[in-house]
Amino acid sequence: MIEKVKNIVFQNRFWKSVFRHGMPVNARLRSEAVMSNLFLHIHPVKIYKDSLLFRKTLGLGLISFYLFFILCITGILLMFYYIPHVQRAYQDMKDLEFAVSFGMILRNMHRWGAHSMVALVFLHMCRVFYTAGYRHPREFNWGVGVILFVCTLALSLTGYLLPWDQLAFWAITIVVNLIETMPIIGDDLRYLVVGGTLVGQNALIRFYVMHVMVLPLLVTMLIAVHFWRIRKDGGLARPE
Amino acid sequence: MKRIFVILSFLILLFYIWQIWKDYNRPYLVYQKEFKELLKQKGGGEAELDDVKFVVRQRWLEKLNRVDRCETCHLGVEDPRFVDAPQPYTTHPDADKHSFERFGCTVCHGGQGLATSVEDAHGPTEDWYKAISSDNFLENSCSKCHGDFIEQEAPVLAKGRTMFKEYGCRGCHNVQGLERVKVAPPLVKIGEKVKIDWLYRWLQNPQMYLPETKMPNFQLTKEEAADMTRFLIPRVRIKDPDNFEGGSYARGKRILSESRCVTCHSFEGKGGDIGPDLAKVSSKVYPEWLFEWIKNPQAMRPDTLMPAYGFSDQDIRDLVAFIVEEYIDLELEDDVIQQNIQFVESANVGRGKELIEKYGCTGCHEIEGVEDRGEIGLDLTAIGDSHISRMDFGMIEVSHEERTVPNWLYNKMKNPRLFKAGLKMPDFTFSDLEAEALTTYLMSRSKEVVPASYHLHLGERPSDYNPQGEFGEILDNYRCLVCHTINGRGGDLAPDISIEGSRVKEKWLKDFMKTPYAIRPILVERMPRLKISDSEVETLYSYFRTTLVDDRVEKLTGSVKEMSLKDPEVISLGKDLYYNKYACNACHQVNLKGGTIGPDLTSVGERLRTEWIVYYLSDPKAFLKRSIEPVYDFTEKELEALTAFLLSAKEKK
Repeated sequence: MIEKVKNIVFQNRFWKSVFRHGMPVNARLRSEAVMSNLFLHIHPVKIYKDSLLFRKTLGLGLISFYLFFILCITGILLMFYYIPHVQRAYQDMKDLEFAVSFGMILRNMHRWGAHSMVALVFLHMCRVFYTAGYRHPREFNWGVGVILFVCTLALSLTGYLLPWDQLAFWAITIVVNLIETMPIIGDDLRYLVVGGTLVGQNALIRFYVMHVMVLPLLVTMLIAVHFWRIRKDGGLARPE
Repeated sequence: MKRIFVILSFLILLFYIWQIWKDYNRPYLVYQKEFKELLKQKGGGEAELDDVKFVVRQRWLEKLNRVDRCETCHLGVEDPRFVDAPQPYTTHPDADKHSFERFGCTVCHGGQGLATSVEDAHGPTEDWYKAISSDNFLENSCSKCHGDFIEQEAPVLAKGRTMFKEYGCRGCHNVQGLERVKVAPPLVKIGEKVKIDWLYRWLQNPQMYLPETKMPNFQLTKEEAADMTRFLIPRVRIKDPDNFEGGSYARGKRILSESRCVTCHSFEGKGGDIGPDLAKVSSKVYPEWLFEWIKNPQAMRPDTLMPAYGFSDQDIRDLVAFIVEEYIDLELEDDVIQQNIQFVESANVGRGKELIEKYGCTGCHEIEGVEDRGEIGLDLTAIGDSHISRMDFGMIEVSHEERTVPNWLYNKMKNPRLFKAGLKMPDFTFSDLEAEALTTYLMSRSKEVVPASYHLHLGERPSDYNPQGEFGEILDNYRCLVCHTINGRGGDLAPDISIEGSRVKEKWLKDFMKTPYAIRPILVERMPRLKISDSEVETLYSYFRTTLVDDRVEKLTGSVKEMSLKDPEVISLGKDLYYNKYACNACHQVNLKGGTIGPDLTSVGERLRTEWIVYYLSDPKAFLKRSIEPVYDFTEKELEALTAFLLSAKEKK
């Protein structure tokens, strides 16, 4: 009976086209299963027992990744309610607070998640630094990590403007005035970022597009590279 | 490790449950359930009760760019059955004029329309700029749609507006769209006008000399007052007041009462409030100045309200002699005056000038040798839009509920240096009501623009009636418009004379201008006896007769000619109507018999034109809306008879 069901489920064309190998019953098939799966093959084929210990990594990298994942989910839900227009943006905050079901927890998860992500990415870098994880052969991955950190900060900053309240407005005004002090390109760069001379509708839409489109795509891509390189550079938390 | 994992999982489960409960149990549900109960008691039908759903209710006012969710809790605002229900269910008292469909709530009341909890909706709350307006300041929103001249419907706002102008607030505070006018007397030759000792005392406390003055108290120290006095009057006059060539005290007294100065000025508490109180005036001004002033006040101060009477020099000399002797400050002692003068003489001129610049005296006064630095105070153009975080309460502890912009403004009006010592704004000694009015006006200064389709200007804009030429000059010279109104401009102390030409007869007017009297028996005689010349009266009358007329009266000439007004039978019919049918004598007098509510009708035919009598009788309210004369709807016959009787009611000698 069980055999019959097994046959029906596993021995058909559909199943076989999705999973090209059979059941991972031996080491070879296990490694094949990993190799032919996009999500699994990022992991190394073998992991040293030591590196799974919590105290080795404190799980900081993965927590950062999970936070990014949470931020993507809540962010997409928030996008259903948020309109990046100067007359609507703050009203939409109020809608989330007072009228939308689970609006407040949604917004708070996104907000606190973002704050924690900045902190955890930073702590992750500290951990890597103090365990000398940036040395050969992982120099490139350290570099990718630094770019990811900068992207995290950029996401945090662009998201800060979106509620369009006084806090947001003045914070971004200060930041773009800082940009202006850069030598030679300062003025033009500020103009590019703000889309004008004052923080207004143009700045809002620019920050919005960066926040929900450009930066998340970049981060996703870099995270893939980051994880891939962990495997290629000899696994987690292992000296050379 | 596993234990921590279990505990954490459990906590997260609790958190989920809490979130779901919180999302279900919204703060407005309590009110909606209570409202449903109340509706059942008021006899709401089944269908109606089913209609009360437990949801957020909102009005989206697209044109005003607002979303108001107030009716989530204020469920009975449009239901007349809830007139006596408690808040938040009470019926709105003015729902028919301001429909919620069109206006919502927050455009008038303020507060946070988007919120659905009491604290957030009513405020004050940190993340919304405007808390709900308390009833005292509610009128501040009216001007958004109804303009700035709403006297009837928003008296507090109108009062605030007038006060802002009259107290010279504009001198120190910029408000876009309002002209900066120096409201106080110029101080250019102040040394020739006032006594040095008076100025010194005045600067220390203006209300002491003149309680109703608009000059604020700058709370100056004695030294500061002396320095400023010294700067304003650099050379102390040694001239003895006795040098003034006086006149007759008794004659002066008579002229003062005949000229009815008391209509505008008060003397020891009795009299009008158009001009200043004169009870202690001789302790203030020099007789020479007083002489020049009465001779031609307008030459000295073009914007004065005082008419140029046209007295002869001798008349003025007598008047001044009387005033100097009669209106003195009895509490003032000579040696104190001398001490004060000496103190001022030793003061520092330079520091006086600095103080005058510092306190912005030039905002209201014209002062020689001091540069006007423009508005030294805050720009108030959009003060009503201020966020509460901009208001500094200083060291005073204010509870969260009381931290509102109007509350800050109100306390600032009451005590301008309350929030910080050493501020420059002076104390105007406003009463509670005055402070409320000003606060309401300030709160109305907003940059919010409502769409043109919402504009409905109420009240009358100030008229720009301004006659030129000979007539204009007479009108200006005698300041007729301080008391009388013509075509919407002028005061309300005396009758409106916009159609005087259709009303009165030439001879009566000429006599009246020579010796004015009160037409209503119980009124105090107030029209001053001006020294107006015959040719000026001639000009006045010809202007009245050609310009200040009403065609509705003029067109009656034909029908009046056809009336048989001299017929004794008609007259006796009119007499009967007057005394019996309509009992006009209940209010009007003829030959000292009758009531005193209406004007005396003895010899009314000599005063009023026949056309006017017919016109007025047919509809008393057509000319004067506030007239309390009943509208009787007389027949043609009755009109004729009454007119005939009135024309025959001559003075019995």
